[in-house]
Amino acid sequence: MSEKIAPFHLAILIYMIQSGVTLYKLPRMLAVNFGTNGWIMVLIVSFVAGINIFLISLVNRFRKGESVFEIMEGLIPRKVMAPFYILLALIWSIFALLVGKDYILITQVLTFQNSSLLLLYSIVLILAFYLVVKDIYTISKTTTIFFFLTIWMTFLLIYHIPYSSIMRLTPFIFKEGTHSIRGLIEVYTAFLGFEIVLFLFPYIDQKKPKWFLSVYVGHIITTVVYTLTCIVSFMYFSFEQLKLISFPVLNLISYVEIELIERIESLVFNLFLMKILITVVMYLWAAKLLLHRGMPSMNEKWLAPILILVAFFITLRVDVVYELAPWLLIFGFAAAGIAIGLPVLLLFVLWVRRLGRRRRHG
Amino acid sequence: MDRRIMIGGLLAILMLAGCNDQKVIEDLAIISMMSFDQTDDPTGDLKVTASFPNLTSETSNEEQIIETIANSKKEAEDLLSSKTKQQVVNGQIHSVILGERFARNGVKSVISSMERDQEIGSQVKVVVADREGTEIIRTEVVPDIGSYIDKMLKTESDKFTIPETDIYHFSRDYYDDGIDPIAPLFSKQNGRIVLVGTALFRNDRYVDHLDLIQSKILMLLLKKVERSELTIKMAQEEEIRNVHFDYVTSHRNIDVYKKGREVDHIKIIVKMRGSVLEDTGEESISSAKEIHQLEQLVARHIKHKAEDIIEILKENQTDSLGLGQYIRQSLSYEEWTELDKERLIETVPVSVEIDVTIKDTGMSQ
Repeated sequence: MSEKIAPFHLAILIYMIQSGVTLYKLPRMLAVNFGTNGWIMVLIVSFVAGINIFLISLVNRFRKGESVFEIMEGLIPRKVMAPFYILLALIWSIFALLVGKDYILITQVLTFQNSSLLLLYSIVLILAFYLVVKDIYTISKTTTIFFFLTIWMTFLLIYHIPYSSIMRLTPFIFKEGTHSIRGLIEVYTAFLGFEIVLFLFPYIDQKKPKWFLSVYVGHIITTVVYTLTCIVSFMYFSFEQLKLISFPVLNLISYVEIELIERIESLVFNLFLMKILITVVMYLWAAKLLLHRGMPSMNEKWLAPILILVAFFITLRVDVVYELAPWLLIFGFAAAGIAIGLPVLLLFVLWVRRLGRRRRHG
Repeated sequence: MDRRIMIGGLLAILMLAGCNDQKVIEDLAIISMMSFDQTDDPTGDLKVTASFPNLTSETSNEEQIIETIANSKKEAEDLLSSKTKQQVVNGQIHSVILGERFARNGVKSVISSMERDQEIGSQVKVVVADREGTEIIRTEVVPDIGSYIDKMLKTESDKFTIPETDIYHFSRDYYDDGIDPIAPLFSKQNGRIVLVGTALFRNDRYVDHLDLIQSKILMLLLKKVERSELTIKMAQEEEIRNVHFDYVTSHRNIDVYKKGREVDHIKIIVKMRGSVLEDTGEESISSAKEIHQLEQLVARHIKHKAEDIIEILKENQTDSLGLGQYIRQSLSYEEWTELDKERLIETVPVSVEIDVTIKDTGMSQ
C-alpha cells in the first residue's frame, strides 16, 4: 500500500496548484475590470471559490474516500463515461500547457529574448514530465519543498510598504472599471486548482476525519497571498498607472534593491517556475488519471507523454502573448466550468443513486 | 548507467540554455547615463547624449561620450550604436537627465519609453538640468559621472533636501490625478555639477523650480521628514541673525475643510521637533520664555517660506504637494469627477501652520 497524503501537505498542495502565473497580472486585471479598490474583489471571488470548495466537500461527505470514478460509474457505465473522461483530460492538459507557455512568454519579455520559445518551453515540459510520472505522494513531498522555496517571496512586499500610501487607494469603490463578466472569470481562474482535490480522495489519509479542512486552509493561504499582493499594488502604483502596467507584480519585484544582489528579480522570477510547475504537474496528473480510466487498455507508462504531446501540438501555433490570451480565456473558462460543474454533477449522481436505492428498498 | 546518461543530458540541456543569450562585456557599451535635449535640428527634435565606461582596455577608467539626434529614445539608442564599435545596452543606466527646454515641452514620451523597456529598471533616477542635459554629462571633474550623480542624489535625498525621484516615483505621480511629479534640478557651475533645487512639473511639463532652501521646506510640507536642518536668517536691528535649526522629526498633516459639497480650504499642519545649534543673535536662550520666543520666530519664518512656495505652486497651477489626493479622499466619486482639477490648486485656499518645538539648545545655553 502506498503512503497517503497528510492534511498538512494537502493544504500546501492546494495552495501551490492555485497560485500561478495569473498572480503577475492579477492587480492590473482587477484595476481594469473592477476599477478603484479592485483588490476587494479578490475577497469576494475567493468567497465564491470557497462555496465551490464547499460543494466538493459535500461530495466527500456523502461518499467518504470514494473516487470520482467510483461515484460516477455507480450510475453510468464506464463505457459511456469514457469520452467524457477523455475530453476532460484533454481540456486539463491543454490548460496546464497553456499556463506553462504563458509563464515562458512572460519570462521572455524579461530575459532570454533570443532563446527559442520551444527550447525553454520544452525544458519546463521535461521537468513537468519527470514529476508527473511519479506517484502522488512524491509529488506532494516535492510540492512542500517548492512551497518553502517560494513562500518567502511574499515577504518581499515589506520592502514596498514605505513607498505605499493609503491616499492612492482612493475612497472610491469599483469606479471606472469595465465590470465585465469576462474579467470576473479571469479573476476566478486565478483561484482554480482546488478542484483537483476531487481526484485526490483515495490518496488522502482518511484516518483524520477533518482532513478536508486543509483544502480550505490552502485556499486561505492563496487568498491571503493574493490579497496582500493586490492591496500593496493598489497602494504602491497610482490607479491609472496600474491599468497600464502589463505585469504589476514583476514591477514590484524589480523595484526591490538589495545591497548584495542587483536585479534580484531574475532570481525571484525563476523561482516562480516551481509554482508554475506544480500547477502544470497536478493538472496533468489529474488528466492522466482520467485518460487511464477512459482508455484502460493503454499502457500506463504512455499516458503522460501522450497527453503532453497531444496538448503540445494543439497549442503549438500559439506563440505570442496576444494569441495566447484568448486561448487562456477559453480554457480558463472551461476549467472554471469544470470546477463548478463537476461537483454539481457528482452531487446529482449521488442524489439519483440514493433515489434509486430508496426506490429499490421501498 | 542509462539513468546517468539521462541526467547528464538533462543537465546539459539546462546548463547550455544559459549559453544561448550570452553577452561579452568587452563588446558592450554599457550606458550609465543618458540625457535628452530639445534641438531644432531638421533630422529630429531630440538630442540624446550617452556616457559609458570604456571597458576595452583594462587600465583606462575613462568615459566615452556619444551623441546623436533622433525622434525617440529607442531610435536614439540605435543611432548611438552605429557610432561606436560596441553594442549599446541600457540595462545599467543610473540616471537620465532631462534638459530644460525638453522638459518644458513635456517628457512623457521618454518616461513611457523607459517604462516599457524591460532592461531599464524603475529605480533609474530622473533629474532635470537647468540648461542643457549634455552639459552635465560632459563634466570632466569626476571619472564616472553616472554613479557620481547617483550617490549625490542618495546623500541629498537622505538628508531630505530634495525629493527621491526615479522613474517609478515620476510616473506614479504623473498618472495620479491628485499629485504632480517633482524632480531634482542640477546645474553646471564653474565646471562642477551643483544641485540647485527642485524642478516642479505640471503633468509632464517642467514649469518652475524651487531653490535648495525652498525645496527643504517643500519636503516638510510633502512628507514625514526624519532628519534635516535649516539655517534661518532673520533681519534684526541692522544685523542678520542666523539661527541653525536641526530637526529630528517633522510630521505633516493635511486637513481638508468642506462647506457643503465644495472644498472650503485646506490646512497643512507641520509639527517639528529639534534643537538649535547655532544662534548669532545677541540675546541668550536660557529661559523657557526665550525658548518659546525663539520657537515662534523659527515657526513664523518657516511659515512665510511655506506660503511663498504655495504661492509659486498656485501661480503654476501645479500640485506638487499632492493636495489633490487629500481633496479626493474627502469627496464622493461624483464630486471628484465634476471638479475642475486643472484649476483646483489655484482656487482652493491653503493655509499653513507650523509648530516648532525646540527640545534643547545644544551643548551651551
